[in-house]
This record gives sequence, structure tokens and C-alpha cells, in this order.
Amino acid sequence: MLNYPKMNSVVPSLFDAPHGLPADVQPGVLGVVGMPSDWTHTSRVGARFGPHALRLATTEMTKAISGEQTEFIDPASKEILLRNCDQWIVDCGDSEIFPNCVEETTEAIASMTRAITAGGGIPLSLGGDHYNGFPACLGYSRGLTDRDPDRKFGYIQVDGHLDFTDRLGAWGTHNHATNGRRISEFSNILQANMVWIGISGWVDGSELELIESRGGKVFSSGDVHRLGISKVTELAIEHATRGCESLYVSLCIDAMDAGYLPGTGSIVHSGITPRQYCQMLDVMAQAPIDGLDIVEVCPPLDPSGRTQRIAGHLLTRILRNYMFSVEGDAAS
Amino acid sequence: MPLRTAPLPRMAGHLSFMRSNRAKAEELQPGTLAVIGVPLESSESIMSGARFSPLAIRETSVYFGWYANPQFSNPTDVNARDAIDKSSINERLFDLGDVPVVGLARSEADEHITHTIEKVFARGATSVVLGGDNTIVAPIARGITHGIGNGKTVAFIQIGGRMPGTTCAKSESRSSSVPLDALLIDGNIKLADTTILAPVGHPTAEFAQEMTDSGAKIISSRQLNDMDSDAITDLAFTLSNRELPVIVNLDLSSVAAELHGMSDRPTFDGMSMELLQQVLVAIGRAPIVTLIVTGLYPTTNGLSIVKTGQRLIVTALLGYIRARLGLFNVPDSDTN
Repeated sequence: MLNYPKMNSVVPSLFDAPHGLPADVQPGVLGVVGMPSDWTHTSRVGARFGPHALRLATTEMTKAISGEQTEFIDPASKEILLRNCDQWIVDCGDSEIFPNCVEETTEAIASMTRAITAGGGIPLSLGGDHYNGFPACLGYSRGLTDRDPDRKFGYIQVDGHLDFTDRLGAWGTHNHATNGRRISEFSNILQANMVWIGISGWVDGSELELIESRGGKVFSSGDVHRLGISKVTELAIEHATRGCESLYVSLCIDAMDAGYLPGTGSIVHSGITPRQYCQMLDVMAQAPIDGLDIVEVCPPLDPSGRTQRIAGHLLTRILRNYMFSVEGDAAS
Repeated sequence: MPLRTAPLPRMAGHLSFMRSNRAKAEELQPGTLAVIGVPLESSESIMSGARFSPLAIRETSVYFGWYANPQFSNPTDVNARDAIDKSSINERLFDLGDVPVVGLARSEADEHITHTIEKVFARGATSVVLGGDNTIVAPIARGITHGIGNGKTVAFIQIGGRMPGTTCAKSESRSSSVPLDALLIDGNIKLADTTILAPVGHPTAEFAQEMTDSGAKIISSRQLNDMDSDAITDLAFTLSNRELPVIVNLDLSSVAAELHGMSDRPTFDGMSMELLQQVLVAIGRAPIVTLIVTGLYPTTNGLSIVKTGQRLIVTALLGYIRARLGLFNVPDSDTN
């Protein structure tokens, strides 16, 4: 009898994962939450199509490593990778979105990531504009407290922008320029353990000063080029995990140079290449991350479609230890 | 009264370069910097759409208009950790709008361009001209030479863009669509007062030799990468020290094509964004009378949505504007 391939789901999931509910995500398993909202973006919208595009892109990638073969080689490191055949990811679908009500959208997203975190799962949230990183992290923060009221967490934001504004003109206090600031106000975040990587161009000096006066760190794109991406990432992880066991990572794809990755609302010319971004995530994959998001994937702004594929590839780098285990020494 | 981005949404309100104030040429004061659009293109390129570049650059520039936003009270270059002195920018950066060239015969359009530049120059102001393709360089240079009078010439720095395919001796072979050729045809520059940075393609050996013999310079993007900013600044000051007004043509083709894809002459050995900004900051410290931006084709299929080219240009111009207006917090900046 022919071994027919599995049919694609009508509703695509991240990495072709099984669908499930947030409360059913098992400890140590990734729980995916889609956040198809860009109503809090201040200029070029379209990131609400990001979760769907990421699911399609990663499902396409998954086909290459599915089937009977379980042994692969990482072309970058030459390591032999064994595919994880256990359940490592569950796609919980998209959060409800209320275009005219930021508060309801916030609570809807947070309720999903809270349930995942409280149960010991690892929320992986898909934006959406970067504001949605706030509700995703809000639910994570609450979920951590549900598990252990004394547990604190550090925070790394990879981004072209600080997103640390308190208020932004017509958009007020809750938009894609304020998410970092709002997250800094959680009771169980260690403000001194907040780190930014990849910041470019002009920023507001008082925000920079506030972050650093609280003990946080900002590595600009210039720092990345000067110190090297691996070194910067090691320093960032070391700083963010001081005195705590939990780490939340927010990956904004716009830290990458727009020449390589143009499908995002607020592009920068940082000079950070896809290779550097991947090297950073290779280092981050070893960190004790128990909550993360990837945001600002905006497919309508990239007719070539490469943005969601690059973003999907970034996920394979940071989730490598979930997808694979490394066998023995490096292959020749 | 300074315009501000807040509480207006970024895309609302009056469109001007970086939300700067509008002005007429007659209102400019010495030391001010005027932004002028020239939405004009010839048929010399295989691509079309450079005429839409001034609009595209202005639309993208409003992202950076928040220098005037009271909520961003302290703009800072995050790489250099260098605070930007914005105290005078609203009184020194103005948008004059576009030169009215649409629907005119080419000769008439060129006259309008020349007249506008001459008026700005006469006010003691400097300018950033948003082209257009590089056929606008010659009428702009004419505006400057009319302004200085007495048959004097200008000095010329070309960043990217085409080089003449022949030597100056073979004047009948010159093309008016190549900026350097056009300026030589007009008699508005001398080859010795010319510097070409990060050119596209290969100069002929004969032309390169003539450049060298005359004392002019051709510096590739790789050579620029190895130069420090003082050496680049010296290039511009060497020209200005000859008491000639220095005009600069920045063509998008100078930047590596993988970073934008929106030039009609893509090169994969061009400058990085960081290097271009270093060059513009260095050059901007010298008394440049006009910087002419050409070679952006914002209607490139698909990339018209992406807007990487105009974002790149605007980001690079930030450095130039800071240097030109002396907004660096360093004591030796030259503000003309």
C-alpha cells in the first residue's frame, strides 16, 4: 500500500503542529498563540496577516523534515540533529481581536498566554504589530505568578526600536511604541534585567537614559557590528538572567536590515543581516527562555514573500532544541 | 511656528520634508538649508519613475519628523550615544516644495530649475535637491554658476552614478545624460575640481588616466571603506578651499543593490548604509552649496510597497543634515 503524505490542515498551524487549547498545553511544551492585530501600529499596517503567513511558511519548512527520516545535519554547525518525535508544540489558534478596543484585545491575548504559562507550558505568540508583545508578556507574567508568586523574570527585546515611549501622540499609552515601557511596569519583571539588541538610528535620549538608570542594557546595531553578534547575545543573556530563572524574549523582525527583510511596518537600515540574526538566535536557543513572541511580520509589504520565510527560519533557529536533539560530536 | 508630529498621526497633516516648515526662496536666510523637489526624468534610463522620488522621499521622511515632537525631547543617535541639538532646526530647515516642471518642454523645465537654485544661492542658503534622475545636475550647476557670475566654475563631487565613457578630449562623444559630461559640456566645471566616489561600473583606462593627470580623484567604495572620516572630509574641504562652490550628486546606485533594489544601475559592490552615512556626515561638514539626490525609482515593481530605497536615502540624509546644520554637539563643526 502506498504511503500517502498527510493532508494539509484546512487551518494551518505553526510547524504543522497539532491544534489544542491553552489549558491543555503540557509542561515544557510550546503553546502557540496567534495575535492577528495591527490596530495599534502607527503607520504601515498589515501585520495582522503575520500569524497566518508564519504558519504557512513554517508548515512548508516542516515538510522538509517530516516523514520517515529523523536524522538531519545542520548545515551551519555541521551537527547531526535528531528530530524530536515527541510532542513539542501545540497550536492554540488565534486570540480574539477587538479592533475598536485595545483593552479587550489585550485581555483576550493575555488570557491565552496566562493559561499556557500557568500550566508550565511555554507561550510562543505570533504578531501582529509589536504592541501585542505586551499582552503576550502580560499573560506570561500573570501565569508565572500563578505558578510561583515569588518568581521573577528577565527580558530581552530584539528590535530596531526601543518601544519605550510612555505616550505616543494620538495613540496614547498602548501602541507599538510603548510595549517595552508597559512591560517594564509588571510587578514580577526585574527592570535591571531588561535588555535591548539591535536598536538603530535616532531614539529618544531620555528613554535610553531611563532604561540604563534602572540597570537595563541597550546594544545598538553599531554595538552588534563592533562587538560581534555572538558576544552581544552572550552579554545580553548574562545580564537578563542575573538572579532569576525565567526569561522572556520578544523578537521584532524589524531589527534586521530592510534590504534583506522588507515586509515589516517600521523598516530600518541597521546593517544586521539574516546570518547575524540567526547566529544570535543560535546562542539564545541555549538560554532558559520560558516565554517568547515574534512580531511585525507584515506580508502585504513584501510581495516577494521572503519576509515570512526568513521569520519562519528564525523560529527554527531559536526553537532548535525543541525540534531536534544533537547527536554526538560535529559531523565531518 | 514649528510643525509637530504629535498629536497628529504621522501620515496626517501637511506633507513636507521631515515635517519642516514651508518657505519661499525669498524668505531664506544665510545658513539655512532648503529642500527642493525636482520631479523630472529623461528617457536616458531603462527604468521610469524617478519623477516620483521627491514625493516618496518626503512621505518616508515624516517618520523622522519627530525631532520637533515635544514627546521626543531629546533625540539621540543610539550608535554614537550622541545627543542631537535640535534647538534651531525649525528655523534652519525649510521645504520649498517642487520646482514646477511638469508639462514643460525640457529646456523650459531646466530654466525653472536653474532659476530656483540661483535664487536660493543668492540668499546665502544651501540646498538638498530631491531628484529626479541625474539629468537635473547640469541645470542645478548652472544656477550656482549664474549666482557666482564672472564665468567661474564649481567643484563637483559625484557619489555613485555613471562615469563618462570617453575622455574629455573627445568632446563630441560626451553624453548630456552623464552628469560629469554635461557639466563639462556646459563649461561649468574643470576636471581637476572633480571627485568621484563609489562609481558604478568601470571607468575606461584613458578616462581614469586623464582624471589622475588633472589631479581629480576616483575613489571606489572599497577604498572609502578604508578611509577615516577626516580623510573624506578633507576631500570636500580641498575642493572648497579652492574658493569654488562645491556641489554634490548622490546617486542611489552608490549603495549596494541588495539593500534597496530601487536603482536603475544596481551594483553589488556598493557602499553599505553605514558607510554612506559616514561619507555624507564627513562631506556635510564642508561648505557644500547643494546636495542633489538622484537615482531613486520608487515605482519599481513590488518595491514601491516596500520603500527600502527612500528609507535608505532619508536615513542617510539625516547624517548630512546634522552635519550641514551643525547639529552635532562638537566644537569644530562647520555650519557655513
